[in-house]
Amino acid sequence: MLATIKEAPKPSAPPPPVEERKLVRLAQAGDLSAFDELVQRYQERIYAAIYHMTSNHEDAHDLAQESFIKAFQALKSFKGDASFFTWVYRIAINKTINFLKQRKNRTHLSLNDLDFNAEHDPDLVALVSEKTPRREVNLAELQEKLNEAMQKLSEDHRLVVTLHDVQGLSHEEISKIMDCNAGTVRSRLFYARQQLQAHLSDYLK
Amino acid sequence: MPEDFDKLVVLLRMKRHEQPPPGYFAGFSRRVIAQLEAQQPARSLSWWRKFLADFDAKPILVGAYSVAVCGSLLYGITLLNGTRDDFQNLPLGQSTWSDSLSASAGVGSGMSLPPFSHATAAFPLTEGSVVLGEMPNANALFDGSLLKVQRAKAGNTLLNW
Repeated sequence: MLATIKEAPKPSAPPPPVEERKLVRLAQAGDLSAFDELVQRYQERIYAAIYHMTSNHEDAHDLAQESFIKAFQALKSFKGDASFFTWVYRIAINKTINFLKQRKNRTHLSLNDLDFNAEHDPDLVALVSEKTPRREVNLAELQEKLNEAMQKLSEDHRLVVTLHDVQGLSHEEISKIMDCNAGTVRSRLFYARQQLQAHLSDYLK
Repeated sequence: MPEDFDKLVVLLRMKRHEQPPPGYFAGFSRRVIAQLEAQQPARSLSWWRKFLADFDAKPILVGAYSVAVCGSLLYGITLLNGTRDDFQNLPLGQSTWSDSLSASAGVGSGMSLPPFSHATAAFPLTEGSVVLGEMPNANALFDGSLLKVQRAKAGNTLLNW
């Protein structure tokens, strides 16, 4: 039996809204240094969301850059109804989903290496060392199988899993990004997990 | 959360450990800003530069503009020829807009042109005379002489320029 599952860490606390609004206003007036500050705040989360959707570092690199460029070009249309973070996320997600639809089934994995901490995560180590039918599997293999299984999900289901289980966003935040209600997010998450469970059954027994 | 998904959720957490190469994010925003700066001059181009840039981007526009310009030119030439024919068909001695034009041009330039009459148009060919076919039409039209030339031509005579 696994140790108690840790709650997914929430993304770092958002910066004070007033300061963000000020940066957005300056960027809307064409101030690139203000926009640079906004990019630095959200680059890691935007990149990660795209990377987990595509399982490809090069694609994520290109799409993340294009998303920020698109965001700057469309900044005048940003009214501040949602947070800047949600707005940029939407741009990145739409861009990624369009890209994936064009790419269709031509999936090419280009995975980032696992960082040093992965080998020291007791839950992960337990998952690999437990006597499963594939007990010879190592973390790198497991990573590849997991990414392959993710790519078998539809874009919407993959997105929900990415945002909730990998990035730790709440149902409400995801519902704003995906422009749907929280109930839809929950049901998509449940279905996506079922699918993943089925694809990875050999590694999860 | 159903208990069944415990292991799966742990496994999905592994994806948080997938990280791009060290230092990747250090230059990320710089690259974005560099691309935006590279696009800035294109936005501040004059309309004329943008017009030319459109030509570069869409070569078919070059053809379309060429056709339009040539068409306008041909239309202009056709119109000019039609006007010339109208002059040729004018009865001699009839006053036209070009008579008025010649009068006003004469006033404005300090020159005065002699009033036209069929008799004064018919001069013998002398030194300094210009053969009709060699006369610069644009100048002639401006000072009203064209009318005289056309009339003279109609009478198979030469005009002392």
